[in-house]
Amino acid sequence: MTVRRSVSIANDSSQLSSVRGLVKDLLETSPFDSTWRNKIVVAVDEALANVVEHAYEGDRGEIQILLELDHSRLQVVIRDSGVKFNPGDRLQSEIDIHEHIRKGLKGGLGMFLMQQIMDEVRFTQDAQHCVNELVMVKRLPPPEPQSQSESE
Amino acid sequence: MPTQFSISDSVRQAGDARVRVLSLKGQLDAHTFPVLQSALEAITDMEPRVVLEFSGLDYISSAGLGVLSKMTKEFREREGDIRLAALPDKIRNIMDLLGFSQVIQVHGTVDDAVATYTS
Repeated sequence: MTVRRSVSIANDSSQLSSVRGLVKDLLETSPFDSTWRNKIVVAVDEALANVVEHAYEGDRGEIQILLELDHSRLQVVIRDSGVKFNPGDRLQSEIDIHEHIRKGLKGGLGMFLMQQIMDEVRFTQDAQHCVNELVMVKRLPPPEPQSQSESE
Repeated sequence: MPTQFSISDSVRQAGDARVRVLSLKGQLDAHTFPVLQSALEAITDMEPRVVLEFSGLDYISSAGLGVLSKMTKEFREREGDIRLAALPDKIRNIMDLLGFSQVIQVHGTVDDAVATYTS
């Protein structure tokens, strides 16, 4: 069975908590444990906060969030019609937190968290229709193997 | 529903040192982080020894962690520091993904964190 949720929000950071609530509610029905549920909520929040901050360059705009949970994975799609986003150097597989704090840097942590938490993070752009799409996937953990006595 | 976040503030003594204790409550995200940043900037020069109590914190995102990074540098330049106390597991798990506890002291209780400023 596939469970789908969708919501559209204005590019306003005050909307972030309601989307976190939506993701949290959906994950309550999933096999992810509470630790992973919290981490996934953070990954979605980071992705959305990035779009809220950058996509419309100060103008008003709409952001669409689509969640799809089935037996094998959670997929999150975030769409906007703002400026093209090029993750470029912001996609990083490692972060030197000592250096980060020594320099007093504020940014650069969100994209790293998204990559650490999710199995797939993809950015695409439909230039013809001016739509940016971010797709993130988290695969469900494999089911616990049944013990011999249970399986007999 | 708007994100809820608030800070309560107290002063403790650790030997000769005054320690500012800020207790955070609610959700620290891309909407609420300026509240923490303003509170810390207001005391940077006069009270550079700070403990942040996280027991009432439900959520933290990179925006809140970015404030910790930026302001820790500011306080350390003034021979002070930011030290953390009473982290809920779900907050600790996120900070551990980034390795924050390797660089910022984390203590079980506010009393323990305040006491580290004695020496």
